[in-house]
Amino acid sequence: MEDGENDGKRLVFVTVGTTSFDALVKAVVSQNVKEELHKRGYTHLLIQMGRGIYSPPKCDGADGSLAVDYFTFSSSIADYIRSASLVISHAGSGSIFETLKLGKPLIVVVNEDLMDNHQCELAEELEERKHLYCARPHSLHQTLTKMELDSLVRYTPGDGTPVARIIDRFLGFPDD
Amino acid sequence: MMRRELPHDDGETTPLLHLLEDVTSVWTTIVAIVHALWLMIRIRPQVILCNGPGTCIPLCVIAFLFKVLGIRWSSIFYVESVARVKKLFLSGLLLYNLRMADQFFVQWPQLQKNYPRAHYVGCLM
Repeated sequence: MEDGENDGKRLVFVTVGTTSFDALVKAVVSQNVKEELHKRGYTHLLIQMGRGIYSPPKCDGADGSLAVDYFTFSSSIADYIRSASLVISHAGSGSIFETLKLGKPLIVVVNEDLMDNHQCELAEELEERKHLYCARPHSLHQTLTKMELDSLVRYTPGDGTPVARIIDRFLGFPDD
Repeated sequence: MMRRELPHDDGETTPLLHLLEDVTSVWTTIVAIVHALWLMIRIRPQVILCNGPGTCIPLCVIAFLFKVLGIRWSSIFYVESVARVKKLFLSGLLLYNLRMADQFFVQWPQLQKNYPRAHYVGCLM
């Protein structure tokens, strides 16, 4: 797994996509989570908070603690993911696969307040395949203490050729 | 094409608001069907390729009805969303059970076990 090291800076990037997920934002800036991240050598915490209402207190980290910053939206979070050493994301499939395809360690946090929570199916399946860790807001600290990022398996992007081949065959195009 | 916003439960709506939401749902569904019909006639697509959300249903229903009436303009191909691991979306269930899709694709092996007429093509992301 790649490490986004840059002058000793190790960034944890948190994203909630276009949703509102205050429970995750609050969990990430809670004392024990920040301490665990700091213990593991992370220096910066950047939160993309989407439509959330709760704004976490910013911190410049001058006293040696974790530096905390946030923003609501960005047209593309790819650059933030690329510069991160760890990504903590909501369970949206777009955010998950964007992070996995960029080869970054990922913890997916499932939003228990959502009515139809089919999102956790995807996160749990990918966790079983050892591509990421899956947690709930209240268990995020526990996941952080137990995680072994070196044991994660790199995700291999998929290939649409089988779909195209089946469609071509059905429509009567000759096989190449 | 026009998209019908699904009402979501935020725990604060009253019965009257629920009724209003249902009425607007019916109306926007009718608008979506009429729009789909117009698109079908104007574009006459040979292939309709869709993935997941209910926005594809009006178009697929129109294309299927045309086929039933002998107007074979469009083949319908449905690729279930990668977010669906164990169960199909409602739109997928409709297209699979009513046999409206000409070819049906799923991205996880668990779905292929439950829906044997589907092609398992692996995770496409």
